[in-house]
Amino acid sequence: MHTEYAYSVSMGIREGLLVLLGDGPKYGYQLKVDFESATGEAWPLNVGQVYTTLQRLERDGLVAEAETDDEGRVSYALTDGGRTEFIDWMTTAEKRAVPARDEVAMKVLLAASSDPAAGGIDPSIVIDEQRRATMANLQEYTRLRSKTEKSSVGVDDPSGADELAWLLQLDRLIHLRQAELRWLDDAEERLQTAGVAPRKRPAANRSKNTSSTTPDPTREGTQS
Amino acid sequence: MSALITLKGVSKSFPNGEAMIDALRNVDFELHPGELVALTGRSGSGKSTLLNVCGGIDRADVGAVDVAGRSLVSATPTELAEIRRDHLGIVFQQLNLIPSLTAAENVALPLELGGERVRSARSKADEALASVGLGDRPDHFPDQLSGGERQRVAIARAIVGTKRIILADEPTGALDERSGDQILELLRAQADAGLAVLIVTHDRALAGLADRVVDLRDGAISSVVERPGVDLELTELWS
Repeated sequence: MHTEYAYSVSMGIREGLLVLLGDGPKYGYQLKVDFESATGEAWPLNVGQVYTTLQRLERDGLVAEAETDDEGRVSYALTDGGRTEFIDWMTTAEKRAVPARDEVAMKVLLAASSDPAAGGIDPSIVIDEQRRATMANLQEYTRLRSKTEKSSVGVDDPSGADELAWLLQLDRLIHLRQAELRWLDDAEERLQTAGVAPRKRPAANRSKNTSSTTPDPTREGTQS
Repeated sequence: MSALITLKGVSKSFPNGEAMIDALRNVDFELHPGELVALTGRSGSGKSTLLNVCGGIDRADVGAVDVAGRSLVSATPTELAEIRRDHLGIVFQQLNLIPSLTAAENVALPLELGGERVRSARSKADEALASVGLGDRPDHFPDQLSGGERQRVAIARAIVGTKRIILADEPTGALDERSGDQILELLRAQADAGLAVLIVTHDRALAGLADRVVDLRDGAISSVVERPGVDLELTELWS
């Protein structure tokens, strides 16, 4: 998660600032606040990053100083080149590289290639543990979303636009977690079909909140 | 609040040719008012059997099953029917709506069969339809409604009257994704209004709205995930 965060912040700021300047000149602190509000506060910026980025954009001829107010704050405006660049960026679909080292995927894949008999780990333990965590995560996001939807006052309210951005973020996170859960279920099934995950029966007399190191005991053909 | 459904040490087997198959093995379970619980697991894990035992559709071989303070184990068939009529609303994937009756008549039917007067049953049916967002189409027949709307009629029928428990077996299984989401939201709202809701789903990804996700494996509860009660800080989401 940490790498995802750092990566996202560095990649979108330059273009993000160009987009925000599309509505008219703004100074640095204003851009910071607008960026965070527009992205549901998911990618916090520090104002230093904003000024450094503005300087680079100015150097590249994409923005120019517009005016200095009474308090000495300099506002920046898009140049024609900057406007072209922002429209190009927005209207070009992102190409996704093969996702770099996702730690969840890595654990499952490595467990699948390890041999429990030789001291490796049973992949179903890894899958179970991750499934529980992902589910708890999904429940939390779902609850936050329904809470936000209930308190939503509409876009006319000054906080409405922030809420909309936040809801869009939550929708995305919910879909990502749902996809991960489905992948974990499929992975478990595929490993069993391939004979990698053992099909042990669970210990008898198991009750709630049993230890998380449950081996996968699924048995086909029982009544459901 | 005390539990509306309590299972203690419940086991249940079914014959499968010569052998017996353990569908449930020594399961403890509680369902409380205001709570939405999802039962998940693969086919064959016992999740539907657990729901059916809670609903008095299957009888436990061993163990105690109490619904709204009454034991299903010692109930006579007549008492069982009463308990189901008074407390339990059951929603299946296959809707079981009667095609020749309107939405309101379908919803009112269980009340009328229970001896309630037609007029009073009808007014309760209208209330239940309104609470599932179908207040404007009580006179539509099932084939004039969409799949999602028909499922909502089935939920209205499950909650009509004074019922406090909804049991739903794969309630979104036959629906497209959007209608399915609406049905889950609707069941969530019923739980928020104080009903106890138990749903069975094979798709764990759908269980995000639940307060508790109970995973069954080979007839036993293999894990329980409780919804965390505290808000995450926004920044925590990304760090």
